[in-house]
Amino acid sequence: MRPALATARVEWVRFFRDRVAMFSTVALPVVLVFLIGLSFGQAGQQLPVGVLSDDPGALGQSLIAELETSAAVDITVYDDERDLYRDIRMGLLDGGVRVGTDGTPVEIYVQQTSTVAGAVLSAVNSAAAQVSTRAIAVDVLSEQVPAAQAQTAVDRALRQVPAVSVSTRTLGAVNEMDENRFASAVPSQLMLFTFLNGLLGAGALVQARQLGVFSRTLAAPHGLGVYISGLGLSRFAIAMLQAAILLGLGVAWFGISFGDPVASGALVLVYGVVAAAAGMLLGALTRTPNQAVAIAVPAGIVMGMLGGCMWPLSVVGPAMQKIGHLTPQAWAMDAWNEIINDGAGLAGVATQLAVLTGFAVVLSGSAVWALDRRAKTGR
Amino acid sequence: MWRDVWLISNNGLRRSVRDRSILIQGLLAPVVMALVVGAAFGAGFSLDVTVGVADEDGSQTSGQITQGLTGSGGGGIAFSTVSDPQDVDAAVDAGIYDAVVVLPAGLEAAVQSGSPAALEVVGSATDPLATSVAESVAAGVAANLQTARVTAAAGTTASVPDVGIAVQKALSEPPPIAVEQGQVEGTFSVMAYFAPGIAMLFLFFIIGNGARSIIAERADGTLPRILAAPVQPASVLIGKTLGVMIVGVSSMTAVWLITWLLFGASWGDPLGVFLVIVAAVTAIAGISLLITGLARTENQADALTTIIALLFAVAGGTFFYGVSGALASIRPFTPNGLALSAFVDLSAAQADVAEVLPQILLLLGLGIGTALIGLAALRNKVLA
Repeated sequence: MRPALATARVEWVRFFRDRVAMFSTVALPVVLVFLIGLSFGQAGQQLPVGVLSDDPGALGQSLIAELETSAAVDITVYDDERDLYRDIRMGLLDGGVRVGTDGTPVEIYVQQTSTVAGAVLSAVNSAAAQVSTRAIAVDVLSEQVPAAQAQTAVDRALRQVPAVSVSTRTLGAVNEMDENRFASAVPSQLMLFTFLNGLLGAGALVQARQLGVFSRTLAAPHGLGVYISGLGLSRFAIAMLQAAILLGLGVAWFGISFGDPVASGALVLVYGVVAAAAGMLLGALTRTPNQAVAIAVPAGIVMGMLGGCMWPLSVVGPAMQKIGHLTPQAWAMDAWNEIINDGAGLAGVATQLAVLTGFAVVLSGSAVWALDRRAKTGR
Repeated sequence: MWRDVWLISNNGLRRSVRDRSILIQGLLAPVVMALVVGAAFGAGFSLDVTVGVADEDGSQTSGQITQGLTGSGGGGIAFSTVSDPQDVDAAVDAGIYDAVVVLPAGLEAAVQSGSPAALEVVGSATDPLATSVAESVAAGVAANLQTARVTAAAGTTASVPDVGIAVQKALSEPPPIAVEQGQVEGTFSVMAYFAPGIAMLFLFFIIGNGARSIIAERADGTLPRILAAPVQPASVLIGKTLGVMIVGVSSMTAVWLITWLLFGASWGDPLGVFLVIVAAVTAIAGISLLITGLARTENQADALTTIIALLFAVAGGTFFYGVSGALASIRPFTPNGLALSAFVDLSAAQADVAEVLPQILLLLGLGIGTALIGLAALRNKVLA
């Protein structure tokens, strides 16, 4: 054990002499958490909708006014059609509404892939019904009495008859991750960067191979296993440091409640091992440190995308969710959801932890096998 | 002199083609990442909300409303009658309905007498979207009821001969504002957003590597030997710059052509796209030269490039689609964000070259400005 710890200590010191490493393990995740939290803000209930008004008539104007007071949508007025299209396509708006002169139909634009097209449509329909009361009442009464008489009577009735109101009762509590954007930003960035850092450990391993550290450790009495576990241990320790910083920041600064500490602790530990083992495996498979880094960064980002670190997997289709669960990230994010949102304890995330342990065993087993071969063939 | 420039840039190009890391970072990574994003968001997924209708009133009016609602639906919203109106909360809790519109007991009486009437929506805190859909539905129903009772009240004051017929007509008359679903013209793929963004991130690494080779060659003695020959230092610097720029433009153009021609993600007006690519590569090359010129060692240049590349990518919105807030406001101050806004104008707003000219000029200005400072600093280094 002591030789492994000594190796880990050396690697740890070497790691922190490198300022990029310091930046990408410690500073970058924190910067990202801040940016994501500040940019996406609280998950709002109002859908952002753009309104394009071409010289609207009285009805059109009252429709726009009604939409402005609507609890379902948040209105921004546009005067250029293409700006509206762009912002719909970029996901800045959930939909667009074109209000023309009275008599022309109101058009609703949504992106084909929009999740909330129906919600926008229903909000606009409801606003249209609300501004139509007067017009319809005047219209049907004018069939039996003169229009002027109908108008006076309707306007009087509108003042006297109380509106039919709608009240809302909400059951249960809002998910921690929905209420506090940082509550999803912290675990997702932690999972992304822990893995990325683990993969980047491959660079150090390849370098050690190139410098002949491998062949020399074979000559030492404790053999290669001790050296590899030392290297893995240093990466694991860095992962724990990242977790301590990000989770600490989450609790102290953003007031996130991370649920059961035993469950989240176990998750962080197992995931740290998975990340370190993945790095050792990549280090065994690549030939130069540059190659290792060139693969590690894109691989870490792609797995983060697939595994739900860049966006929650709940927003993608079932096929992509299945593919995503080929990565450890997806299982870890599932576990965080259970722990933070549903208050799951160790038993509640047993499945996810078991799968992650499986990843750790398979990855480290393959790494040891591949490195052993490398050492024996002297390459 | 130009022959020297050509030889040096050509040598750089040949070495890049052999470097497999460039293939991974410059081509494979942006294309794969764009495909993952395209698969995640491009396939299309729809709203799936079940709204329950709980008729606690059991009157003719509430029955008609319930029938009207359950017969409608579509667009991802389905309606269904709540079998046991007394147990709405349990049904929502159990997830049988995403939200419920309650027609409370006494609704018909209240509507007919003109006294205050209210509908209730019961939703779950974990599903604000479904609650908001149900609220819209309830507001529509409330508006219809209000139309009926305003018609009834006004009909009575105006001594309309047959108020009942007027009310019936009012309920069945379509609203004077017709709502239709239009289409956003043209096609757009999210790949056209992510592919250029990710390509730019990796271009920082590729171009930075190329720029740093000047320092490396000085350290290992290649450069002094070149300069001992009748070659001007300017030829070396221009040759190197030209080499990395050709690599950058080619790799990004390849990403564009692959995502466009093979995967159908149109980036917009081809001339505009190519010019923005050239401008973006110029800006990245200029910044890389500045970093290389100011850094003391190759390691320092490497470190600075990585940090700046990642910060620019994050702040420029490379990984975030559809954000507002803090990120949206700092975005234009990064070369990545500037170029991305031009790419977005071209692809999502179908802008032409003239409309993205401001971004192109800013990027070119940024690139040339930083390159001049960087090259001046490098020239001193090369001669030292």
